Formats: sequence, structure tokens, C-alpha cells
Amino acid sequence: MAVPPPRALALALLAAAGCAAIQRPDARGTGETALERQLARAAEPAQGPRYTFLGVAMGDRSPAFYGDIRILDRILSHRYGAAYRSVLLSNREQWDQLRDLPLATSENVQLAVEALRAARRPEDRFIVLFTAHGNRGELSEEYPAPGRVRRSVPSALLGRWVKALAPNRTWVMISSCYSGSLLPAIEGPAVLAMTAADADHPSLGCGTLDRSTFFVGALVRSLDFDQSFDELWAATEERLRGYEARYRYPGANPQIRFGADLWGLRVKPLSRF
Amino acid sequence: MAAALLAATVPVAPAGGRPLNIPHEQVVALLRHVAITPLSVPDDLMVDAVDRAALVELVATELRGAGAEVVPPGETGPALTVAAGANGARADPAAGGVDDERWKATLRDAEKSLRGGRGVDCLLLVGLRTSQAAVANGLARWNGAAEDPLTGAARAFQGRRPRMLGLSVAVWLYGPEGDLLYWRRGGLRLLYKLGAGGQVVPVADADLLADPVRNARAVGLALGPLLERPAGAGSAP
Repeated sequence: MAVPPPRALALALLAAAGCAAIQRPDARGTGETALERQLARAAEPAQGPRYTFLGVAMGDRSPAFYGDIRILDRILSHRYGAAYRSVLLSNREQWDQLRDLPLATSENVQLAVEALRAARRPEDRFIVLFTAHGNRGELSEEYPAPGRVRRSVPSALLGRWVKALAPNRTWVMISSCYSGSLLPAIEGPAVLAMTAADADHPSLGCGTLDRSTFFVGALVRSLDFDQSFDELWAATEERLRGYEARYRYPGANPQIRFGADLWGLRVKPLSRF
Repeated sequence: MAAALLAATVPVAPAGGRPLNIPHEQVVALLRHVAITPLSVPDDLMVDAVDRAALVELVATELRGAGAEVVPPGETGPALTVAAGANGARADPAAGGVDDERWKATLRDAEKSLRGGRGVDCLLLVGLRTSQAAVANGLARWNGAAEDPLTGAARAFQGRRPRMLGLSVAVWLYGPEGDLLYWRRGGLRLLYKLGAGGQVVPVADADLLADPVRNARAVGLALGPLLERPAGAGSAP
């Protein structure tokens, strides 16, 4: 058996190990935000239904994705109090010596979804936000590792994650370009899906100085738990049109879909989700 | 609605503030019934309603500590909205300027309508505002606050930027005739940090009001000259 040259050996080892093996050592997070700890807290029982937020910020160079999941987490935690649980994953470039959140790799998302699925009870609700760059039929997963890792999350995988939470009521938001193209994969009877764009348009707000994506910014500013989902959506669209007009952008054309079991939610207050 | 109205109408003032427009004792005499507004926030920032309310409550607590009876923002905001509707917007698009008389009339009407028509002595607008922060000796300084602008990762590079943007708590106190009696900003936190490559990285909106100690310090800086007691006052005889 011939001995492979060192470079070929290294490449073969890398290929065999896959991208996941070259994650940072702290890819799973540290301290109280370590993935294991977040998942353990998410599984803690509550008196009534638990409202679990899974925030997944898959882009690394724009702080907007990180800002998206953090602001929604803060609002929801205030809203649901003791019933609130959260799992936050972010690929934002690291500021300090330790990551403040685990990386939003496909592997970590898979672990989170499996753990949430295992711990759920029938009355639990899920609120899920994927925020990232995207192309038709996929989200971009980018994270700082030794070297920079860029992968894509195909719509089929995204769909498997969302469907793993069924039949629990699940509100899924996707803030990325062309995110409407992901809708067929994630729709389900108990899924309320919102996307920042249709299948043919980019969405805005993922620059290096953006504090949040335009879609999540408009959605968060429109959140009023006493209003209905229809009212929330109308307010979000109006705000987005305003933002887009400033950039003379014709519009990302955000999309909303109510699963067959959730049609009644359209005219009910968000608090009834 | 009221917060949006205030964001659009409060005066734009240079950083720091000119604390008192009339003698301190005259201002203090007016701090009996004070109406306090909801927190106004610049359009480009997102602050959760619970965090907004908590910050305004810090301001109200300070005022109560000084002996004032406080009309909460839940009453003041709607009163201001109604008064603004009756008097017209402060900004006058036809003339292309600002109509201070309308603004004073709005304030007067709102103040008179509160406390079941018994009125208040003055009205305190509360908001978040951004200011330039000068960086020197490794610290960004603005409106009484100081903060290291570098992230841990950037510290190794010791990149230096002469100015950054700081967020402050701002207050404006208006008297019964709608005259501005006092205004001041207290530095809260930087809006951006410097990353490892010297790039500017926004602080997440969720973190802007997440630290109660910072919040209290900024409120103290904003209200300090207004609520400070003259030397010897309040001490045992």
C-alpha cells in the first residue's frame, strides 16, 4: 500500500472529518450559554404551556443576524416570563475571548431540535427564527473557524428541522434573501410561517453596520400582543415599505402562510398563539 | 404613538446640556406634580417596551425621592397626543421650520388636562439620544460616562478612533407655560465597539438597556443637577 503524500493525507483527513470537525473548540458555547446548559434549561418543566424560542443566526459578518435573535429573545422573555425557554445560536464573529453564544452550525441546530422534540409536551409552543444570508432554496451557514466555513442549508434540511417540532404549534420566521423559496419545505398544518422575501427577491439589512435585518426590525417594531396576526403583518409590511422606499428598493415582498390548523389565528391576538 | 410624537418633537440639543434655565430653587418649587412621558427612542434603535418602562420608572423613582408626585407615562402620553392633535405638529412643513408656539400650546394643554383637570406643575420628557463620544487615553467619554471602546479581541490591536457614538438618557423639563426649564443628558453606553480588525461593531439593541446599574447611573447623571440639594439641606440640625 502506497504511503500518500502529506498534503494529500491532510486533505483526505479533512474530507473524512467534514467541516464540523474544524469548528472552534468553543463552538458549543461557554458558561451559562453553552448549548448543553441552554438545552437543559429549555427542558425544565413549567406549570402550563412552555413558549420556546429557537433563535438561529447563521451569518457571521453582519451583526444584524445576532441583533435579530437577541432582540426577539428579550421581548419574548419579558412577554412569557416563567413559561419562556430559549435556545440561541449565533455565528457572529467573536468579540471577546469566549463566545457568548454557541455557533449556529447545522450540527448544533440539529442537536437543539432533537432536544426540544424530546422534551416537548403537547401544549408547548415553538417560536423559531432563522436569520442569515440566503439564496433560492437554501440558507447560507457561515462561521469563523480556523479558516472561514461557508456551507449551505438546503430547504429540505430546514424543513426536517421544522417538521421535527410538529404537531406542536410552531411560528417560524425566516429573514433572508429569497426566503419565500423555503416555504414549501417548512409549511405544515400547525406551522405559521413568515419570510422576509418571496422566492424571487433579496431582502435588505444584512450589512456590516446593520443592527437588525429590515424584516425583523419591522416585525419587532410592529409586535403588539393585543393585536391579531393579520394586524401584525399589515404593520410589518407597511414599515418594510418605508424602509425599502428609502433605498428605492421595489420590495422584497415578504410572505406569510398559516397552516390549516392555524387559520383562526389570523384574527386572534398574538397572545392566543 | 406618544413616544413617536416625542421623538419627532423634542428639541435637538448639543451634548451635555445646560442644566438650569431659571434658579434652582424656583425649579425645585415646581417639582410637586410632575407628569412624565413614555421613553422616546431614535427610530434606528429597538428597545423592548418592558425595558422602556423600567427606565422611565427609574426616573419616576428619582422624582418621587425628591418629593414629587408623579403622573405616569400611561396618562401623560395620551394627553400629549390629544393636545398635539388639537394644536398641530411642532414641525411646520408649510413654513419649513419649527413652530415653538404650537409646541408650547401642546405642552400647556397636556399639563392642564392631567390629574383629572387639576393640572401638573411641569412635564418631564424622557428619551434616548445619541451623541459623539471622544476617545482619549483608551476611553470614550460623553455626557459624564466613560467606556472602553475596544472589544476584548480588538485590545491586542489597540486600534484608536477619535470619536464614537454614545447613547444617553436625555430629559427635558417644561414648566406650566411650556417653557424649557432644564435639560440634560446622562451617558448610558456606547452604541458601537471596535472589533478585532478595527471594524465598528454595533452593540445589540437587546443590550442597550439590559444593565440596571448602567441605567441607574445614566438617569442619575441626567437628573443630578435638577435634584441635587443645596449644601446643608436635608441634614440634621
